[in-house]
Amino acid sequence: MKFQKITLLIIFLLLSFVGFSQQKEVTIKVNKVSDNVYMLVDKVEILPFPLAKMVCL
Amino acid sequence: MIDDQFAPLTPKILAAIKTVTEKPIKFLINTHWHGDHTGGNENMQKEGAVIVAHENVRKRMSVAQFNKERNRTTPASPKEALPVITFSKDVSFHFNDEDIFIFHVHEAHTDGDAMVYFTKSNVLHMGDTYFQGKYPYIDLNSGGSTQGYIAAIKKALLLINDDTKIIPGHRNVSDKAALETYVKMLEEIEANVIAEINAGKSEKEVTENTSLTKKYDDLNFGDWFISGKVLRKTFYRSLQKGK
Repeated sequence: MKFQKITLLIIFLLLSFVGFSQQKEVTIKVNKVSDNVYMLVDKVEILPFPLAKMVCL
Repeated sequence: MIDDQFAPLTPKILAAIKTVTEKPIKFLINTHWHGDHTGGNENMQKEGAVIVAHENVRKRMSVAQFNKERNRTTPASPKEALPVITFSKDVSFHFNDEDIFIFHVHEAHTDGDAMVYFTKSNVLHMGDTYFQGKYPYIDLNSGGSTQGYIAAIKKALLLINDDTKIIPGHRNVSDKAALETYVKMLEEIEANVIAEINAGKSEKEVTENTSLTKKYDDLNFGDWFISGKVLRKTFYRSLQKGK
């Protein structure tokens, strides 16, 4: 099975040392680095104040 | 899985992983103890992952850590968040037709750094011993040193080749040529600071001397939380400590 060959590799960009607040929305994208290695990339979007919501689910 | 970000992101991380596999996470490797690399440990352990790290990661996570420069205390992690398998020098994993070599580099970003090399895929994850395109954060409070940081990169360079894909702890995928340029930059700055120290300059004088990092400041390496000023101070303190 294709997925048996997958090794997941996680790293995150942008967020380091930034922390979280109610003004930030985080999305995570999967990037393929090689056949067996994937990288998770996070993207932080600053939301306008009235629409701010918690990142914590 | 390598590193797991802050705890609130765990559900999104798991959802992202499910887009490539339904299989559970068997092993989680922490490249060092900082919260943006270990914050999801407790959640991942509950998901069934076995956490692996250098022995100093477990030691530091077991007790509160005070960062003098940032005047910030990180509380001890709960037992469920601690690595359950630790190593002192290196450890290897063998699965998915891949040999994965995990090795410790001494007193670099912290005193518990590990790099992870996927030998078949020819991919090296360097954790925070490489900040692609930006000056490095070297945590002197956690046993890191500028000398060890440079040595760690040189060790990585011995292992890789021109085709290796390098994943830094932050920012973009990189390669050997870029890493060589990066370590050259650090060695140049180190030499500049050493010359100042040998000339009897104080920490304040070195920290304020913009010429020591100007070449790379102009290339925007200091355009984030580690500015040229912060880096000059870090080099000064680390080199003085090492005397």
